[in-house]
Amino acid sequence: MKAYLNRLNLTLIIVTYSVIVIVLLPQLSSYIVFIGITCAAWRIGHFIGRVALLSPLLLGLFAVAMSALTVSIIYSQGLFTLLLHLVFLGFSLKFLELRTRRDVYFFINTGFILTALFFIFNTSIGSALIASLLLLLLLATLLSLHVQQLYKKAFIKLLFKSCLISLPLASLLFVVIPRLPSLWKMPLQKQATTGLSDSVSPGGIAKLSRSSALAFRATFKDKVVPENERYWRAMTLDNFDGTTWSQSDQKKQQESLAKRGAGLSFYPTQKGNKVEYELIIEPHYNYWVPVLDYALTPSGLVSLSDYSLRSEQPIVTRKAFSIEQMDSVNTKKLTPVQIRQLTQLPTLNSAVENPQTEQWITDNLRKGHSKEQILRLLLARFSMHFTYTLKPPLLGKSQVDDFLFTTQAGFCVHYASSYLYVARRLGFPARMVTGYLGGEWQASEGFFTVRQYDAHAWVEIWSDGGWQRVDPTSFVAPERVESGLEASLTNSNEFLADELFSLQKWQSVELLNALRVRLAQMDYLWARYVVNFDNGKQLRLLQYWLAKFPWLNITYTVFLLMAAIFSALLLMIFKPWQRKKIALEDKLYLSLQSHFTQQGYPRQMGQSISDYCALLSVQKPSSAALLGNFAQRYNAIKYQPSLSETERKKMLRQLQLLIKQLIKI
Amino acid sequence: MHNKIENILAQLNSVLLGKEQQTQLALVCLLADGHLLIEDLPGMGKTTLASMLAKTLGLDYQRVQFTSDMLPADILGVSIFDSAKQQFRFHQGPIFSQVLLADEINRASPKTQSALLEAMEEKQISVDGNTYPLPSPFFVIATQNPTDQAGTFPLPESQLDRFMMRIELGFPARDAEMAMLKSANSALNINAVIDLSALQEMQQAVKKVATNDALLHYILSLVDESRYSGMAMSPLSPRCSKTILQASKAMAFINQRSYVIPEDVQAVFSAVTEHRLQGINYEKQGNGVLSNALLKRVDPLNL
Repeated sequence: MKAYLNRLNLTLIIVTYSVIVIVLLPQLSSYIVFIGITCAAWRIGHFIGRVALLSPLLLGLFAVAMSALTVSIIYSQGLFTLLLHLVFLGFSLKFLELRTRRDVYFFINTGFILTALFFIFNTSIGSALIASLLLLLLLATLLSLHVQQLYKKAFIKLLFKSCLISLPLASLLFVVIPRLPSLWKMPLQKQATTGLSDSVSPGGIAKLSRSSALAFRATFKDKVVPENERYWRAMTLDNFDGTTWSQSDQKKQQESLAKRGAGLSFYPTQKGNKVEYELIIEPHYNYWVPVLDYALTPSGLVSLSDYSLRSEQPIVTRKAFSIEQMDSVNTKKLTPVQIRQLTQLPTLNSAVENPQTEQWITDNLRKGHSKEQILRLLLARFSMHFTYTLKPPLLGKSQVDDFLFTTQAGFCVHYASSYLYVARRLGFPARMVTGYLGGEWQASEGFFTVRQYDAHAWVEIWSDGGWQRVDPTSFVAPERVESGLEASLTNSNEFLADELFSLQKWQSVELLNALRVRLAQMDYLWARYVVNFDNGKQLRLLQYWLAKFPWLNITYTVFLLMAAIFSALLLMIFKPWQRKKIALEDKLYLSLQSHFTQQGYPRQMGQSISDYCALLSVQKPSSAALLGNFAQRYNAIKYQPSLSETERKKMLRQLQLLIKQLIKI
Repeated sequence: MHNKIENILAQLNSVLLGKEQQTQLALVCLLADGHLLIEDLPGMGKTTLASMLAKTLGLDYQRVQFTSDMLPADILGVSIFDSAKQQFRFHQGPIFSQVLLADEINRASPKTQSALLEAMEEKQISVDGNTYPLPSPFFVIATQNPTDQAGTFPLPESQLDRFMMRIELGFPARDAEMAMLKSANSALNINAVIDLSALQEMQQAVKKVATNDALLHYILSLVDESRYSGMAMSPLSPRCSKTILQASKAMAFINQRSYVIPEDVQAVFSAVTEHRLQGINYEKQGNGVLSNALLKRVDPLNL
């Protein structure tokens, strides 16, 4: 039966479609968004009666052409993006040809798939709410197909009621259904817009500092690391070309090995205090994991020789890691190759590029200062003359000279870079470390949030047979190390100048601050308990539950539970208890019908048995008598109220005999 | 008893050639104690069928030709002052007969048409505060011209509902018309085949025809479909479902069966329901459109 769509259906469908387009907008290429908007416009035009729908043939041709176009455009972006675009294209085109219920079922199921895809890109609690709204809209559309006569209020009530009823089942399925490994590779084209990049030139981190986007969260098990020790190490940069600090080839090689799983591993060999904490990292599409010194290697991660951790896969979704750390490590002597790399400078041969710095170093050496004293003098200069600003003046070709003697203003990278330059010039093996500093304490939930504006760069110098951390920036504005970037800026307009609507900016308004803290906590809990509910956690939870019933086996229990759920669903769908019993005479009649239907003589709706048998008799004159008898007996059995039980049984037997003969024809 | 039915049908068919289905339906209608409306163009044999039915069944009948200036008193009768007895005396009109043959009923004004209402339903009439019973049995066999013809007043729905069946004769087949022309001088020697007691006996037998729930469900499904499918302009009333059952019983009786089967219902359904389904607009659609659509939508095999 064809059921046509009414106004409510169409309104809901159009709203649903528009919301899905808006929600998926960041993931879609502009051309397919254009197609989507065109489809929506066309549909709305049809809705208000201005344009006709496309004919199925035309639409089919259009679909083929569009698919080919999509494949050719998106192909280079990887399979997953292609899949997403094709699904969306199908969704849009289906939207154009919705005419009957069956079309709407297709439309809604595709909508569910797109909602699932949306979850791949977004895992925060906010996006979960958006997706719930989406699901609600899809379900409302589905419901509107089946209840046409309900008033608005009753409709909404029914919608929420049925959603609430199915919520426990959904939660159970969430807990019980096994997590399959991903069937496709995630797209890696996503540019690392936020987060640290693997090369730093003064100016690169300034943009990052202003973003209040969340970088990661940390929960300390029992002991909290003091604030001036919370240097979250992400990467070390040991190669300088005069303007940019980057990783040396040696380092890159080590890292690429590590990404393939061949990194180092540190295990607790050292006595001393162990501190444990859990990290929940926001996706940054890179491999590094920010850790405090000196992290042991947890499962699933590998270590590099600079004590930083790398993930084997890029972090594209929110990930949680449990980290253990020690206060000290055994160190080995540096090899000559390492020393050469760690003292490398582009101007080692000709010191012309930063003549003033050269001059300053030579002067001090001539005055009889030791190398360590010169470094200390430099730090003293920082504390006396230099200012910290997020908007430093541009530096010329001689970067170090310009910064040290002309502008004397900058942020962490400027200080770290020039300090490193001087240290290496004096012959100390040294490297730049990038990462995050500090973090905001969420008192009520007991975790730190580290945001992108906490990004920082500092220096490590090899002396006394170990790496010593020096943070030149801290000499400029000591407050920055003690209480975060926010306090260190005297001109408060500079902080978060780009983000007018960020809640971060309004920390002084108590209510807003409370709201912000509450939101952060909820998002944290969401990430910790829902997004990162993986196979391991599932297994642990089930084991915890099942420990109470020692005779139960996890596999069988999960299997049984799933079987129970699905059989209940099947029962609900097919409702065997509502099926009518078919009387014997009707069964025989049905078998007669199916026999002759196969021969090409189906019974028409509403046709009585006598008419049907008369029709068959015309086709099969030889068995006209049998057919006539059959019709007469059937009518007698079915409609004669005065028939006695024995007569009835006799007639049924005759009917069976007749059908046996008839089916042979 | 069934011999007599065959004789009746044979006699009817010998005059009205090639219209077996219509004569059968007409007989069914009278056996089920219902009034009959025959509708067609002039000259199709409406009046012939009506008068033949009355004669064959041995009933006394009066024929009234309806015209637009006719008054109710012309049918019911009139009270006239009897100067000898010094009181009014009621002179019975043509309605006081066993069969009233109302020819071209839709030419009369609605006022006159409505005079028949009480007579048809209650089998009595009221004049000047006195109620007079009509003879038993009492049938109205009415003929009417299509309402798009000049000088017609369409029968209102309430009046249509009084008629158990409405049948149309239609043009005869070529063979039948040929036969009719050949025997053009037929002296119409129509005799009564049965008498009044035999007719009443048959009517009693019709009432005894049995039904079971399966069949009643079929009738109810048909009626429901007319009410809830939104097809019909005027859905079928409970009185109509009663009428369908009566007519089906008579059909089963004519088919020599002691119980009703869906085929009987289907045979009478169009004649019984089409004029009720289409109501006053029935000329605007072809004959049997709605009732046949209903029959096609409801399956007798209800599992």
